[in-house]
Amino acid sequence: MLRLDRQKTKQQLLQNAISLAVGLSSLIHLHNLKSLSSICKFWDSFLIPIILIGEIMKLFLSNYYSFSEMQKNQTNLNKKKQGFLAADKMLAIFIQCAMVVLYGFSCILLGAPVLQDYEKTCILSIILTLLTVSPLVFLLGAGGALQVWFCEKVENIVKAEEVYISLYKYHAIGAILGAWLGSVVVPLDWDSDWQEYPIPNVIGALCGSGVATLISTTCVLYKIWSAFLSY
Amino acid sequence: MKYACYYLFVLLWLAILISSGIFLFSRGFLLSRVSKTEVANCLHFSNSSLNESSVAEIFKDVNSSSNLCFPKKSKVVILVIDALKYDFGVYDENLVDPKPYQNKLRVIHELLELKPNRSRLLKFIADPPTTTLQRLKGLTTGSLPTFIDIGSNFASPEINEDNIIDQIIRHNLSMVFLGDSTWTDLYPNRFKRSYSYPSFDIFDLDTVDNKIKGNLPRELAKNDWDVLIAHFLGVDHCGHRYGPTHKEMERKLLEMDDVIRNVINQMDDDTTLLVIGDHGMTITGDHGGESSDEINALLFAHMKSKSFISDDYGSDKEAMQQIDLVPTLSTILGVPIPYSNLGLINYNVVPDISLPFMLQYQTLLIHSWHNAKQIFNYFYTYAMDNKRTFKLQDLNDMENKFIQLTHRANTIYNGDAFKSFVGDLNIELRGVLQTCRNVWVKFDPNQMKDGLLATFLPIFFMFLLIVNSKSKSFYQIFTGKVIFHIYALSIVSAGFGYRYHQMLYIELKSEVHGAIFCLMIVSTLILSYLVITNWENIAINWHESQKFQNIPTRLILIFAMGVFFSNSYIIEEQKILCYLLMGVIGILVLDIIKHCFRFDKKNKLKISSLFKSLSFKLALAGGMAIVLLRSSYNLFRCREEQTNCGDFQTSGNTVFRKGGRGNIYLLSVGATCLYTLSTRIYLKTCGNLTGHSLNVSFARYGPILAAICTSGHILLSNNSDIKIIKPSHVDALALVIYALFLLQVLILIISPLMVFVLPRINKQKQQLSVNSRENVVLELFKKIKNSYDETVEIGNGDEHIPVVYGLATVYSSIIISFGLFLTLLLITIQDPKSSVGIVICLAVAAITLVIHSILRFKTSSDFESSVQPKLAAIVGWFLLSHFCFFATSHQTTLSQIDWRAAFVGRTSNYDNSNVISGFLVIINTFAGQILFMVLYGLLSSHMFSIFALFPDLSKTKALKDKTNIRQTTIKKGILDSSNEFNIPFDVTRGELVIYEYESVFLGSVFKLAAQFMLLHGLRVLCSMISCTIHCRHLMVWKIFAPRFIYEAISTFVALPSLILGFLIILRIHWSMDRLISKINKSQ
Repeated sequence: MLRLDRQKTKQQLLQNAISLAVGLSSLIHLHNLKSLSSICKFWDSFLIPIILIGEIMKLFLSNYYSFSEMQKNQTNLNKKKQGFLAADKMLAIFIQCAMVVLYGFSCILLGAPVLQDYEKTCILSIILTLLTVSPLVFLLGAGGALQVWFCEKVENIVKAEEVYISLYKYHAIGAILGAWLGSVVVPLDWDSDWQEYPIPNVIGALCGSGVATLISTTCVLYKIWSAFLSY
Repeated sequence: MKYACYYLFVLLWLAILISSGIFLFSRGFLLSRVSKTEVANCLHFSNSSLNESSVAEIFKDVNSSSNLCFPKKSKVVILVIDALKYDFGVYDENLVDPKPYQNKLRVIHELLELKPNRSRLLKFIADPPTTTLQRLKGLTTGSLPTFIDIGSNFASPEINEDNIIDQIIRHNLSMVFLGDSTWTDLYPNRFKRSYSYPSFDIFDLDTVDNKIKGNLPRELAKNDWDVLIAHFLGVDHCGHRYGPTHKEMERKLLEMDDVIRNVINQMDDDTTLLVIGDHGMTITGDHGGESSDEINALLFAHMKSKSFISDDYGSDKEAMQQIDLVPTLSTILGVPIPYSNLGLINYNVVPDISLPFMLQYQTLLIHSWHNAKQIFNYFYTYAMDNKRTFKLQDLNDMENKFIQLTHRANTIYNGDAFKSFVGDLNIELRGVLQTCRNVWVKFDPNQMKDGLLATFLPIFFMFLLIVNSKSKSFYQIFTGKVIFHIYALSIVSAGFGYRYHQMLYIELKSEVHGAIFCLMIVSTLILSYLVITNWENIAINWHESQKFQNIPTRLILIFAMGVFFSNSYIIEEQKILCYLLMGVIGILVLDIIKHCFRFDKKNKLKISSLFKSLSFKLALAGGMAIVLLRSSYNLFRCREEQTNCGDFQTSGNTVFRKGGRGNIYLLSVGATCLYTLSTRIYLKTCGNLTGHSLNVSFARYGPILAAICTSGHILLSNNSDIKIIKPSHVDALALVIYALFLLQVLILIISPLMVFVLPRINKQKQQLSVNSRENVVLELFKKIKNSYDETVEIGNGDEHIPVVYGLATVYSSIIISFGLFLTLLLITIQDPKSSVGIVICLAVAAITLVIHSILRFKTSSDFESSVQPKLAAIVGWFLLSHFCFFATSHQTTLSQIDWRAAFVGRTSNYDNSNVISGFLVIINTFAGQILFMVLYGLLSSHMFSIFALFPDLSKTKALKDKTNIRQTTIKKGILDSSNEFNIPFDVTRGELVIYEYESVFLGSVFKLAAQFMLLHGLRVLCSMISCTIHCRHLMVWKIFAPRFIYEAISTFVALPSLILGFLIILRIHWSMDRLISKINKSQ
């Protein structure tokens, strides 16, 4: 008989719901923009704030669950509290900035103009960072995030957080793959305004992470369904 | 060893099958015509020289006096209105609610009503492709435009066939031109005055037209010209932008109406006005295809005071072919009809001007017969020079009819007889035109279809058979008997098809078509038989292989193939390939990180350990490869269609001659030297440069000499400032490199192995001789010693331990050394900018090899999986070979072939050998294909040499599984294949392992070559399919067809290169076999 981890499933579904909501609202926002080229400017669109708010909402949600779990076993809580110190926060900010630079550098390597369109490259890399790196850093702090990336096993995490990490992983892969695939439309001679450089990549990243979320949601729903059948 | 030769025959067979398919397709698709450079002449008669006796002389024998030109009948003003469709000029007064394009050119209607004898409105029927450039060629040469006019100049669009413009100039008439710059590209420096404006921006409706309108009145008033041409672009641009049903079209047509009125007001009585459209447009405003909307353009002719010939002389009153314009114009202007014209004079638009002492029908008879003789002369000269173009029976029929007509021409004594004669003559000449059209304008769908099938079927079955079989089982599939049957059946079937192609029920065009068709059917049957007999293995392999593996790599492959289906992708192909290559490297690096970039201990995360870790270094190397690829953006050559592209016509090296970028020389010399040096150091470290045998000495000193010569050639050949050095001395540098390369080939044939067997001496001395720098060899030596210790009795065996230098990299070292000479040869042929591109591609390839071999070591479980490269690496290598084409400053357009390569080493005493020239140009253009396909064996063997060089790398794995069983003797693995795959091999022994697992290694090298062949075949198949789909696309001649040509030639180059690479490996293996047996015997 298949057993369903109710707590885990609930968390996964809520997370995915927020992700999808963020994706949808940002796409609706893009749809309502007068011209898509305003993505290319920092202050003309609310895309970055929307994604940021979404990530913070996820953080609250995850904190709520992981704290409730941590209260059950006190030892972890103490260590956790120590983790979020000023130095760690600085490191977290530094990591995100470094990732923005790294993404920007990759964009240039993959064919973006070197300096002319720095603002566009900047926006694309900020959005990619927000979609891939930030959730993890917000959740685990700088040290935790580094451990997730570089070590085989992450120490001091509760079960809830493990669930999130795997979710974020899918999310990030989806975003990067989507941004990469977005370039497909750039060379075509359709002369549409949305073919300009960062727009297909930004939309691709959003859609990619959305698709990844949908896939993981489907998996969860399938599990629920099979558990339901086996009862 | 024997089965390896069978593999060679299988590869050869596969290559022949794929290339024959491509060949057949190109015969059907690439319409070609040999352009003739002969020029028509005529005997000029002026009005004064005509008298009764001379006229009588002329008509004594019409046949022989056919090449006469009479005086100019009138001046001509030609207004070309781009995309002026026939419907635009038709006036229908009953129309209640006219569409924007209807009833706008009222002037035509008014003049037709007012002066019916002095005005003509005709349908002006174009031959597809209905694009402006092709139309202009047709309108001026009178011939049918095809894709390749063989013999014409590729580098510039200038027309070198005989044409009306040149005839006019040659007869001292002058021309003025206004408008679209396409004319001045086709005919530079022909016009007395030209006002040409580029037609680049198709969204600009007015600029060109307004400029013409500004200059036209002044030019019309000047009167010092005989022909004035004005080409308006606005209507065409309006069609492209808004379509014909937009109110902008109304505005443009009214504007044109105005222009025509003004010209008619201003021109004098002695002028013929011709308003023509070069093609029509569809309801969406596009053109290029062959629908009736597109081919029906308009011709309107008008004279102020004189009238046109009004009697019916067999000319069509409704419609006129566009190629008829040339003979008609020639008749009006009194110049000979251009040599390669196929059109007929349309007397409806020829002014009725009588000549002294001649009746109207007599004049026209001379004109018509002149036209007929010219067409037959051209047609037969062409048919004789190109024997296979036309069917023999057609030729005979036509010749008979022509002889009859010749006799009739002499017996015409009144107008009615002439009328019936000219009617028959026109039917006959239209027959000639139709024959030519069938050959030059119509695609041959049968050949295209069979070509597609003949490429697809072998690829499909070979894919099933080869990709799904294990390397060790190939020698069971392709036995000697099978090979014999394959070849016997193929030859018999091809011969049968060649001989009896007419007897088969299917329509086969020629002997070659029949041969390839039968070959295709028989080989498909053989292949399907092989697949069915091996179905069990294939099914098992399918069952075992994981579903949905390598998704990103497959995605990349699909993109690389999909490039052909969109013209904008083809234009940006270099960047797309670069993007995909970066993706492949990214995938490899990510795989590495996934497999070994994890710290064992859970919390020790230190920056220093991060930097020290292997995978970090590899990731850094991958990053470097990507940076290198990005930097190669500067090496790309841009093409006309890309915006802000300046140098698409100037050949690459002129940029450097201008100075200011001279440091590119230094860069390319530096890259060459760096490459030579690093390769040499690598070989030395491997111990392959030890000893003093002839071939090793050559490998030691040859590259240095070659690199010096190459650098000298780069510096001297492109610099015209240095006058002291004679061209023959520069040539000598190139010749030295050719000679060195040939020497290397010779060495490869005679004695390829770069190993050094230490002479037999005492044990103490042996250990002294192996010094600390050659730790690899020491390692190897120990292994061999240990392995011998177990079998040979102690004490006795010590004296018999063979020490061999360079045995660990015996396979790869020879390939690399050969590749070095090949690269230097290619660099010499390239221009300096491109040589940097080659070195960049090689560096990327080296990084890919290193990353991939380590990745493969981490993931492979047995020997077979460790010699069989991962899909990502194969795709990367494949893409790299294509990317190298662009990195060496080439583009897939016909005008950007680097002809300079044909003269490398031959400037001082050029031998006029076209074969050598073509060979050099092909080597220059497809350097990447040749290089990477010859070196493909490295992908299989390189892992072992890496680990032989850095034995430390394998320690992590050795720690894990300590069952490190050594092979007891160097033996051939084929004999007991039952247990060999379970034995974990010792990678630190290098490529000696390869030798031991001979059957698997050769099998997998064969498999790899076949896989590359399949990839190439697949790519060219995609190109062929896209050409078939887009064969009526606007851009088919400009983008898709050249792309197909380049892809086809690159496949033709890549397939032999792969076979050559396989041969090299076979040769090495063979001499390795002999070496080992020699050592064993002396032991």
